Amino acid sequence: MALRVVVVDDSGFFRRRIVEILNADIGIEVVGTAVNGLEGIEVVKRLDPDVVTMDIEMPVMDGITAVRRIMAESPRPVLMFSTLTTEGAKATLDALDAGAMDFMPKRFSEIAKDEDAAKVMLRRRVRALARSRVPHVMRSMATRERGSAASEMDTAALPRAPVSSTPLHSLRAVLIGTSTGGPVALQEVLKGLPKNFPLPIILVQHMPASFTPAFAQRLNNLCEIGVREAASGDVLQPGCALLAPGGQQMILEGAGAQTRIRIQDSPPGTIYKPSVDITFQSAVAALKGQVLAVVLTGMGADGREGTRALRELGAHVWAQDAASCVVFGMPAAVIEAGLADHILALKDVGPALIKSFC
Amino acid sequence: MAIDPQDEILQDFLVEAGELLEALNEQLIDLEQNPEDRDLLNAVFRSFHTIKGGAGFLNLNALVVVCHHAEDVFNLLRNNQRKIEPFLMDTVLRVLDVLNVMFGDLKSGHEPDPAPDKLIEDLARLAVPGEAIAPPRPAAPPPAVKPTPPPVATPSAPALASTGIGATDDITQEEFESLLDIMSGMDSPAKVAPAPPPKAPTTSIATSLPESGDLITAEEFDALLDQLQGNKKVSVTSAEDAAPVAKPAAASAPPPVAAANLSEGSSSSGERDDAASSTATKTPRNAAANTGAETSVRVDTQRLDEIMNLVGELVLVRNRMTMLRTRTMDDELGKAIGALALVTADLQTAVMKTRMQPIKKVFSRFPRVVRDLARSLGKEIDLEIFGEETDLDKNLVEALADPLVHLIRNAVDHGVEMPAVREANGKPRKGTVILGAAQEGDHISLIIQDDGRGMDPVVLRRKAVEKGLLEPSMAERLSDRDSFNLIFLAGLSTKEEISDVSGRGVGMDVVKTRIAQLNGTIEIDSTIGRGTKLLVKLPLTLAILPALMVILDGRQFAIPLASVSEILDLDLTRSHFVDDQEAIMVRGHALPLYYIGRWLHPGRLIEPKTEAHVVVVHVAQRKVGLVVDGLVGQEEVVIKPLGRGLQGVPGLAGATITGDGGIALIIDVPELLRLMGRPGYGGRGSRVARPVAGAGV
Repeated sequence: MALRVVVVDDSGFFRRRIVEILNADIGIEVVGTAVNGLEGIEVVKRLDPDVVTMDIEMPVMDGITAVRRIMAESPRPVLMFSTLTTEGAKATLDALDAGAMDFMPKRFSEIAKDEDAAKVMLRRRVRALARSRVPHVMRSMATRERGSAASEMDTAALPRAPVSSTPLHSLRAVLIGTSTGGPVALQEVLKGLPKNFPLPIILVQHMPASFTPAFAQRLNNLCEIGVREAASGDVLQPGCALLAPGGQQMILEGAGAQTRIRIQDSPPGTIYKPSVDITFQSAVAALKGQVLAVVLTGMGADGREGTRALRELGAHVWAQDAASCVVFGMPAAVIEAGLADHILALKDVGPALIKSFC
Repeated sequence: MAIDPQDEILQDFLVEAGELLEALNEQLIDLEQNPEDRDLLNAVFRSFHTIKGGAGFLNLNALVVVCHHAEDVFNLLRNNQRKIEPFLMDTVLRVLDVLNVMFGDLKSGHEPDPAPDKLIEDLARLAVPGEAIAPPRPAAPPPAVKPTPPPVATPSAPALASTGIGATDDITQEEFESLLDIMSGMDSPAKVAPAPPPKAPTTSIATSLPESGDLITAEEFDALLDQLQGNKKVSVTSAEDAAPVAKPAAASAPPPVAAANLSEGSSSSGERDDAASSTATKTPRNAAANTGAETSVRVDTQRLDEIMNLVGELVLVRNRMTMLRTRTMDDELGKAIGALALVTADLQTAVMKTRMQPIKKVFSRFPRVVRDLARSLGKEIDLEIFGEETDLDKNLVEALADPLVHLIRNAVDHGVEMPAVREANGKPRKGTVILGAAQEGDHISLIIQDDGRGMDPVVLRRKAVEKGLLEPSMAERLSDRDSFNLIFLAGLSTKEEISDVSGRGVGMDVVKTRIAQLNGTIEIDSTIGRGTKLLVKLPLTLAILPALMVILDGRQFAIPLASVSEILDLDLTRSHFVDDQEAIMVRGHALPLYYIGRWLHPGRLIEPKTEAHVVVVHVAQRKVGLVVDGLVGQEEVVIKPLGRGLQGVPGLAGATITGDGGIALIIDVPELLRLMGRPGYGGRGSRVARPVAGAGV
């Protein structure tokens, strides 16, 4: 059966485009549309779709409020359409906070080289969201269990690598890579860390360039540890998290005892900007693999190769479990490659970090 | 990037964004009055946001950039981080102008040029939280401008600076005109860029472009279909039910429109709405879910025109049948023809309704025009609008735009006085301009009224004589009311001040001609010190007009009924010649007489009859008598364009087919009068042939 989607947007033009794009996929069917948030809530209740796409700026009720109400009343995956501006970033992050699972820019040219690629991406994201679960923070409010085979997978049955023999106290940094669902997941993990967390933290979140400054700012406000967007020349410091800027690549460079950041353009053909693999691989030389690599929720398999390279040098690798992932893709790739020595629910990642290092 | 104006997605965008832009125009003016209205601020923000979103989807960078900046400004406003002030409003209104130009470019298939750097800079300066920003060149308050005798002629220079026109103390005529062009808003999107010479000429881009589509409501469309089917009871529910029913109608009307849209029943959407329709067909139950959302269909204007044309043909056939009915004695046939006549009349009304648009479409630009002009002139003016919802034919709505802009500008520019002058005369500082519309029977009345200084008939008469437009003897006899009509004379309405309605060189005479072309009339009334009132009357539609059929030289001619006041049978042997013009006394007033038969056969002598039919027509307040050979009666005529041979012949508005199957020419009364007003037409015979006839009795 085709995935059932409801499209909420006040612009008729945009509604028609989204409907066209989604309906062109035989596996997806737009079953209803709404012109504002309030109507969206009603249509969602009535039609019980698998996925909702939601505009942010709408009359009567904005998309963020609508997401919050949908997650409270009849939770299901919501894909936000946003603008890639600083303001748009703030609103999108608010929407993610409210429970939206993923976002797409309204301007497809910003994420794909051509229109067709963007259409494919939209359909893929909708399909991925349909398979996902509502985030765990919202799940308690969920009235019924949803999910597909992937999320029902028994974590215990997954392949698990032997725990790395590298002593925890010799690790020099925590590297975290994530994508879809990451903004909320990172908040959850970093929020619990104390100001004096002894290791530097490196964050790679798939995100457009215009979003990362706002996201870093937001994390910094929410967390006790310092969080900021990384810039070339930054030195890794304990208790400070550096977020890879969007649209570019973050490289770690060893300089004696110090490890510095270099931000550079992406090599041609790179899909993810920033890429978890590229940053993780740079830590092989810079930090001699003396790191904890954490792979959280996200679509695709970015992070697997970087993790593999680190793992060979004895790095510790944690992966988020299927049940708490918005999209169990990147962690699954790491787990299935036999690279993860711990598989954790999202809510346990923060406490585990504290237990291991503080 | 290649722009294909036919691209359906682009069309879809242009329609939606066009509507938003139109709404923005009003919302912004409203906002200036109610700067604290949060809902309004949000709505404006969203409109820019939505246009930007669509433009981004289509990769129209120029639009994205300018909308993005405007959006930023409004984001600050709605977050209370900035206050609305005149410079901000000016800048945002310039954005609308620029967007209009861009839309025009897109419609004609050009990639729009980026917005002027100056505009983006100004927006960027406004997009940071803070206090009011003064225009780049500090503006002296309007009253400080040196007072020249006619204060109207020197709008305050600083205000001009902010609109991007050169700023010296005195502005030249050209500058003033280009300012006015900018003011005209929607229809004359002269590029606002200050430095380079405007790329787009000041002609109206919007009107010169074909309108893409018209909205008619589903009910109207259904009514239309019912008419076509000749059965009002059939309710269109599904394609299966409706399609076969619609087919028989093929003979009399173009069914493709009907068939195409029927497939979706009443909640359907037009052909452009492929997406929605495919959704609906995929899941029929969604139709219910979506009701309320899409109750209108989009129909190409061309199709509407086609339907109107066909209805016109039908009216002609009806006329012919009705005529034949009188000759046959067959009762059954008579009844059938009677029914046909009724249905045809209903159909005609229904089709006309689909072409109707609220005059709001034109009116909505005036708050902006008045606001900008008043601001640049340093005046304080309230524009009161009523009757916005009055419907009239789409073509009329479009054709009215320019004349109305001119009349409104005149009222603001020349009617309403400067605040100080008003106060000195014991009037409120703030002037009022009223713009209204109302339907009266088969006519629309428009009113443009100001409470300004009014016109002085004495001055008007003197000026007209000075300019050689009026004989001094005529001037003496001219009533005050008739004197106001002098402003319609081509030579009078120049910048050479008559202290009143002067205009821009090509002024009121053009307005009058345009309105006359629409089969309309214009009347003026004015009181010195109290204001001026203009009353424009127009027919509801242009396509079918009631006419008086007359006989001239054995042939039928149609005189639009709108210009006919009355029909008199007069003894023309009792006419007089006054100033070389034959006239006859009717109820104590002299009625100029024109023998239109002489127009057909110049030079022919027509003997005065004791019992002649005289059709009294009026153009503005001027009444004249047209002497005709015979009267046929009233008929609804459908205007057909003239063939090549007759095209451009002055005095003819078109042709039509009469009830008896013949062809009749439709007389363009104002044009004919102008033609016949020239020497040589004024009497029964050539002035050259009868040099002393002027003294005749």
